[in-house]
Amino acid sequence: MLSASLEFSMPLPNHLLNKMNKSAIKLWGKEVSFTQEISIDHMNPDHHVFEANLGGSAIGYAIISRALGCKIGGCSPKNSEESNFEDFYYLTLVNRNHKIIQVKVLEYTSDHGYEIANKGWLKQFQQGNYFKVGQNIDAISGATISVNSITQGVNSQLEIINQLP
Amino acid sequence: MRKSLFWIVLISPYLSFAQLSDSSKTQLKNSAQTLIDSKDGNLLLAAYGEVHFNQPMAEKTSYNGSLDVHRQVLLFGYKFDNKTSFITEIEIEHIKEVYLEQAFLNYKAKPWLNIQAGLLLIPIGIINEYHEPTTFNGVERPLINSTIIPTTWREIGAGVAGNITSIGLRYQLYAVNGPLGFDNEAKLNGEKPIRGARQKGSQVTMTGIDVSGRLTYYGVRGLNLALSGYWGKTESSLYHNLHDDSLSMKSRADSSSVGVRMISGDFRFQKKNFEARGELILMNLSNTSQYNAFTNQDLGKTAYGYYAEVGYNIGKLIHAKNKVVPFFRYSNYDTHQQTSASLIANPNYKNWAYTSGISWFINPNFVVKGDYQHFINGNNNTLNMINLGVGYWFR
Repeated sequence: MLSASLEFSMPLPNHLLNKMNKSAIKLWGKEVSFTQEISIDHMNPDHHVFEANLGGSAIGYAIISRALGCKIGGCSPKNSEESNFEDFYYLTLVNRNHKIIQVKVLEYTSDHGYEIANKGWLKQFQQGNYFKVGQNIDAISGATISVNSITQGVNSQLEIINQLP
Repeated sequence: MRKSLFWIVLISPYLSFAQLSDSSKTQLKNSAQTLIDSKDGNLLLAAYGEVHFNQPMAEKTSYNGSLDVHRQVLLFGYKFDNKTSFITEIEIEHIKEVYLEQAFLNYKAKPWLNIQAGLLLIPIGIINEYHEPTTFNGVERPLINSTIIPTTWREIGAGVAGNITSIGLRYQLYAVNGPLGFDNEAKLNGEKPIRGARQKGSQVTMTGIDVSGRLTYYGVRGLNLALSGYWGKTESSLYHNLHDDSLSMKSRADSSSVGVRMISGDFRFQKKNFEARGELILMNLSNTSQYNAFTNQDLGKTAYGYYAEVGYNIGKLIHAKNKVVPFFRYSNYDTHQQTSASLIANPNYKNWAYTSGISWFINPNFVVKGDYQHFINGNNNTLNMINLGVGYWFR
């Protein structure tokens, strides 16, 4: 069983999982643990969903996602077997009621658009269940693409979460 | 088997969908493999450009207006694998001048550490690195970006850059070739100290290595705060083929090179419809009295420049679909703040500019700009200018 789940997790780099664990501990305490990655039919392989457990019962979910392939004019919804030119990874923690508790950028490489990693800006995702740039998400000048990418990404994370119990 | 992964492995027997079938494993391995092998999405294409109209005006003097396809830039990027990518920007200025603005390899050694090498933008101030026309107000770039920071300043080098997202910090540190201050003739001058000395990656002459770095803090929402610096010495053709024993030649060469130190602070702030930004640049040149004596130039010893700008998006107020930003910018610089020895400061090198205008976004990535500028120099000469332009960016 162990080796099976390890193989499953291979596409996701280790340090991202470590960061997920750290954030979860901060939020839910030391006793929190994760199930192995949950597989969902027809889910984009760029999303990695884990269930968080505390004392034997589920308390929420964690999703680590890779940025959507976005261009001006829109983000390519879901054919993410292809690689994006400029990847970044972000983590979303939701509670049992599927409400977002935290969105965090785990890794950002590009020299443009890094402002989306700002914690204050990311707090906007804690209110609402559908997000639109210019309405409930502030645009950031010079970060158009990454703003659109993470906004649409969080929307699709919520779609996935809402299919779960 | 990696021990660091063990913590995620907690089997929850009551979640049947958490159990894996062999087929899903294979599928995922395949998609990870495709991710590396895939060619789609590995190529990045982007472009930006601007077309300008400038009409100078002054009392008792008439001027022709000028129209210019100021620059069109094509960006190509290619991602060889998940760690290695290459980016280049081909710039066509004034229709007929072709330059490379950047051409560098990026190797992602760690999530927070990129190693970069090639033709790099010097990371000083805002505009030198971020000058897509949709990201700044005003048709023309701020004055200090042509006079003191020689935008677009790019040289060949290598270094490191990365984001530490947990604390909202970006760092950059590069070793690059310096400006060519003397190439059989003087390349530095008092009006725009190092602008004419940029080597732009073309058959570069290097005597020694210069260093440039920048720290950007974006941990406060809406605020981008940065400190950058440049340390080095201008290069000189006289150091080539110089014999250790020829002291007079050595002394000639030493007179043809100056030390360059620059420090710059800048900020960008955005809250709701309000936006503000500013840049301050301080430049210190050493050995200028020797350089001036040797070349008969008027290079100053210290220079400063700054601007502060505020804007307010009235788009919603006037029911426009996109941003409409009236703005005002105040700027001042002096490239003869201090001069050495017998050189008397030239009041023409001290300038003030008042710019008011509007950036009208037809689309978030296509902007129509208009502004009015009032210039005044240390001799109280004034000039006014009307500028109109369009700019776009896409990728």
